[in-house]
Amino acid sequence: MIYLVRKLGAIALDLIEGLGRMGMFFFRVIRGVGRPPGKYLSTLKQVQFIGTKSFFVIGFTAAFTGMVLGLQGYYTLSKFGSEGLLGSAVGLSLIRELGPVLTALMVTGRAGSAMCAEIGIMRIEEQIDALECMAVDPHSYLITPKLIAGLIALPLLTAFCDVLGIFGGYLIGVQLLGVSGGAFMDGLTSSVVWDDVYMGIVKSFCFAVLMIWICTYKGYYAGLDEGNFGPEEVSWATTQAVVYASISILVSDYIITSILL
Amino acid sequence: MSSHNMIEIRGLDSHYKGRQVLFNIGFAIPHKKVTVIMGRSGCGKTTLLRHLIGLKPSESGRVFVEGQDMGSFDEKGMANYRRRIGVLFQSGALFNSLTVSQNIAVPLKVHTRLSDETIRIMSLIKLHLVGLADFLDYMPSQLSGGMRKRAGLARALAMDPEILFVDEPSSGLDPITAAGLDDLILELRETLGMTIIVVTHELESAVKIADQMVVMDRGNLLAVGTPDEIRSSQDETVLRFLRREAEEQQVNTESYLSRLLGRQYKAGENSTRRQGGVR
Amino acid sequence: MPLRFYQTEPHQALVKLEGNFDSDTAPEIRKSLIKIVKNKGSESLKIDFSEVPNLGTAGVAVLVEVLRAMTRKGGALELVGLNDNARQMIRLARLGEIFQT
Ligand SMILES: Nc1ncnc2c1ncn2[C@@H]1O[C@H](COP(=O)(O)OP(=O)(O)OP(=O)(O)O)[C@@H](O)[C@H]1O
Ligand SMILES: [Mg+2]
Repeated sequence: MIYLVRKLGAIALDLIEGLGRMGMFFFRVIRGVGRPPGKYLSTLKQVQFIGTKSFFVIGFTAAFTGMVLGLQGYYTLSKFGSEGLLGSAVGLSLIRELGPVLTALMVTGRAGSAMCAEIGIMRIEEQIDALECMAVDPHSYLITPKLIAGLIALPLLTAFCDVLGIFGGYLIGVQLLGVSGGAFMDGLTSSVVWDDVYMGIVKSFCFAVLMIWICTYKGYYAGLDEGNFGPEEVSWATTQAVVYASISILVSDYIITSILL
Repeated sequence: MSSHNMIEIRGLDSHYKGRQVLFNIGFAIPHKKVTVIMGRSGCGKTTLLRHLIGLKPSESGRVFVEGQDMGSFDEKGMANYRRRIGVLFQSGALFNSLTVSQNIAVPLKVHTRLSDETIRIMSLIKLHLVGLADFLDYMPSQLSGGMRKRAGLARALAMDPEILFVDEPSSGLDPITAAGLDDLILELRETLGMTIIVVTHELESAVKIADQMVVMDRGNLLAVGTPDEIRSSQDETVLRFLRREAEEQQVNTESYLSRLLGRQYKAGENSTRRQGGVR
Repeated sequence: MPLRFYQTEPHQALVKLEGNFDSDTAPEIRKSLIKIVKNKGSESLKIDFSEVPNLGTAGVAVLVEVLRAMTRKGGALELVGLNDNARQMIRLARLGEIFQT
């Protein structure tokens, strides 16, 4: 019994300590924005990294999701005889929900995991210690460019995902199932308003922050809890990073939706 | 406190996850001198170095830099201290996504507004110093272990540090290159008046470069003194270390056997018991 | 970091440096020196180091750049008034012969 209480207490303390450390980590990364050296080049490199890593995966996912949406939407809507609403159904679900979420999940899997592993390897190979010994803040030097790059890349990739998804829905709905093209586009343009786009943008910014934060944090502290640094620590950290980032993306998606709705 | 000491260590203990690895270490590192730390593998040399460069906070015991307690350094104080030091890690710790010259340029790019061309010439100068001028644009993965070490040394020298920490610079180097590094260390002390702390296993090289030698054994400080003092030491363990004699392994044998044979074997009990354990 | 320029003779220029020549001051000194080399086109440039207490590797690197620019124009570079520290810095960079120290 006492053992249980103690164990629970220890877990709670660990949790609080972990959260505090995550907070400090984030603060240091943000603080790094204005610090030398200039981050244009490193940020651009990271944008390119995120983009090239996830571009095709997102394209595929988006196209097929859109096509499935077209099929399912048509099937459901035709029961009520309102196939004409297909455009707005596909557009709204992509722009408000699926676009940001799918993009963030794909980027987490492709670029987030790679970032986590990269930082984790720098940790176990003492490269982060080396940076500290040069009086170079590793947060600002390594992580800040990644965060800014995430904030730039994710909304762009989300837009790309939305467009391809809608195109997929159009392809199935109009070309295959014979919904009138005019009705599709009409439904799309009349039902999607600025608020929907706004929600999508807010989401992709939030997801970018969450994803980069969690992935780099996990890599940065790889093996630190166990006190030993080895390759298995990095792989463990990477797995955890992807899982936690994906969960927090899904949870925060719900929260943002409920707030903005 | 004497102003001739760059760093002073007092009563330093160190732990990893509850296991103590340093016991009450205390000695001083004089200004503009070469201090060599020696000791067998695993005795805590690298750990001690990590305390001196502020990577491992001291739980008990203190490290003073020019009379100031390192534990009281805030972020800025620590950054100021670290701008004055150069560190070669035991693993080299090169940034493996950057070329050798970009590695050396990292501290310069962050701390100065020097032009790229100046920085390139500077890294060439430093690399030439360690005999790697031809490998400016190589990636760390394209270098041998000893070359990585030397590139790490060049990087440690990038900011013209006042204090240089080197963890086993000559491990993995042939005798000739290693001797070259010894000469370089002496030259740095001679010409620039650098305070240099070297961890090494090589007794010959230690005697050659040391102004002060520190001998450690299993987390304890065994002896501190000039090479001559150490060599004329009366301490059994020090002498044995210097003579490179294997230690009598009585204590270890017992724990080894009890580990092999399980709990039946109790250290210190007679041999009949031991046979029982085997059977 | 003050830097004074004198045109001593038609083809002779003298630059007098005052203060440390290290990674903090090197960017500015570099700019001025390169400008002098470009504009004046003097055949020979003398740099007086007698008021320079400290020369760093960054300073040596800038001197290499100036030397390069001068030789490209067919001119010569001469360093005078080097103290021990500066001399040793240059030797440590293995450039003692090139700068004739
Ligand atoms: N990250 C770590 N986690 C737990 N224990 C560690 C860690 N690093 C070192 N140790 C332990 O601390 C002790 C001292 O290690 P240290 O690396 O300081 O030895 P060393 O003298 O540098 O050895 P070597 O000459 O082989 O490099 C060793 O017993 C080692 O097991
Ligand atoms: Mg070691």
